[in-house]
Amino acid sequence: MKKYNKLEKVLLLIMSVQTILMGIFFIIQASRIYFANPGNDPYTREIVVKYLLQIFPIIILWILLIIVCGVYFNIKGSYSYNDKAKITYKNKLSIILKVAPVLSSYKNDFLSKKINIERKKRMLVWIITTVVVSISAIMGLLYLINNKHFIASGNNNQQVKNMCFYLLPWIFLSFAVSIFAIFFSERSCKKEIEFVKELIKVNGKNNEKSTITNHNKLINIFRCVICVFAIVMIVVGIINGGANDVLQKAVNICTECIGLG
Amino acid sequence: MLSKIKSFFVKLIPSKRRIIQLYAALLHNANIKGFVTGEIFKGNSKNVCAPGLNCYSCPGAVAACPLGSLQNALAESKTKLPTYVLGIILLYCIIFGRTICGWLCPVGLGQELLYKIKTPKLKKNKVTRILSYFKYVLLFVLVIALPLIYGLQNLPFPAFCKYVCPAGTFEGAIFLVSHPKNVSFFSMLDVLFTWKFVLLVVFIVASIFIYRFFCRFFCPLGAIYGLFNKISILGVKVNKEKCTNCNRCVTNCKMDIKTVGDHECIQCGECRKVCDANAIDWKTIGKLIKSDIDNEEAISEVLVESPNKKDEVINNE
Repeated sequence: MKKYNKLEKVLLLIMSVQTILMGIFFIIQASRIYFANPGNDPYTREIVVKYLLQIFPIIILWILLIIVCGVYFNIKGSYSYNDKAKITYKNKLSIILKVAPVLSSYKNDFLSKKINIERKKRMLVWIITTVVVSISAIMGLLYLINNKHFIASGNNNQQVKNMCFYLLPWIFLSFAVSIFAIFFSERSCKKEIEFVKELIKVNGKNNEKSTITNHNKLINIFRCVICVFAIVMIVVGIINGGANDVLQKAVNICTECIGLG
Repeated sequence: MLSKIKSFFVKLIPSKRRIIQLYAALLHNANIKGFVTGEIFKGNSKNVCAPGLNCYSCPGAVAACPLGSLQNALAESKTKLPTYVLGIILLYCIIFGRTICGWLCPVGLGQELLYKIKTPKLKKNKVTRILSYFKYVLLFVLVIALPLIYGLQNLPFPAFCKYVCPAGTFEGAIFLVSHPKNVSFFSMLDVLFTWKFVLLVVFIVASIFIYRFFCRFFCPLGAIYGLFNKISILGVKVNKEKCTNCNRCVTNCKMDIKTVGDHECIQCGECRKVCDANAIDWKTIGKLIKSDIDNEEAISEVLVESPNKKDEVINNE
């Protein structure tokens, strides 16, 4: 596979900058339309066309760039553009553990102690992560089940906004802790791999093959049960008028769904 | 020169999966007349939920959107259990799992086509794997909780459709409003449309740099289908006896999978091309489907020159 030369890298850079600029211009134009006359029919056909025409040359340029880049790279051939991810240390560890000797047979071994320490550290971090995520989930649930926050007759948009302001920090905290746990886990797996490699050097590989159990029969029974259950639910839904309700909603324009309020 | 022109056109030949995706997108929006008249379809086929994400306010839509129908059904759960919609979604889950995402969903097709635009790409990593769980948060809060909460107060509130769904903004709003017959809709455009339009632009731009940006991080329908991925009837599976644990399938996959067939896998089958051990095959109907690898041999027959061209054709997808 070929690698990108300087010209091609510049072309890619221009393409990405132009794409991001396109997005920014569209957002700016939409904001300008809205804030020119907020809450008082800001959008009319003439205004939308006028603001679109202002960025029309940039849109044409972007489309031309896409066509040029597409044709150029298609003719030039495949590149070593590598969107393959790296194999994680956790995956490497699970592969290497399949050939490693069983740890329990080396209880006093220095290496197996080190390995156990790393595993305990990882378990602790994941326990903390689970606790933090559970607390965030409980706080979110408590907010959702409190009727005072969602009153049908009130300003629903404001209620949803308040919900977002309340929930987003908890969601952010959960994801931040999870990301930290992943990075910690990777570092710990990297260390454990070194210890396991040493263990294999000292004690040799484990040649026992793991047996693969066949769950196919159980899974097929489970699939059949779920299929039958789904069909029964559909039939019950048709009888109690659920199908008709779906039809009634679908044949009318859902103005909320398409952003018309 | 002639061979270069030939190879240029050969590379444009769509794969089997792409053809199926195009047909599926067309089937989801088969009411072409609607785009011409500016009116949505009102036929009885809208009784049935389509498998992929496709707004039923799109002029071309011939079936109901599963997410929109689910939210509306949950909103009416005070008077009636939403068995019909749940039954349809469950049937899709157990038969297809996320095969729908990889083969049938029009929004997925749109994102894959956008990803083909030549720009530097953001690779998947540990962080994107964690962020992929955000769609479960959206599923629980916007698709299940809010419609239920407001539904119990007799107010239909399809929160995901109202605040997030790009299919509604693109297929519904833009196609409907841009028709000359629907000029009156302009007066209804306000802050909500501005918010949804901004979100649509963000999804489109991000999909150019990040593979299936909406599917991986925001799609609640993919989240539901993913829960049944391992037990679905159709999809890909790994033959553990042949598997050498080289992990090429995981590293080459652009989705945030840990193993082939897990809840992030869209069952597209691209991993089968990179598996040296031929350990990945289709579940259930593997022997009935002609291998994509056979198609690559057919394509290579068109290119008379060096054997290396075959790899270029295969890898240019």
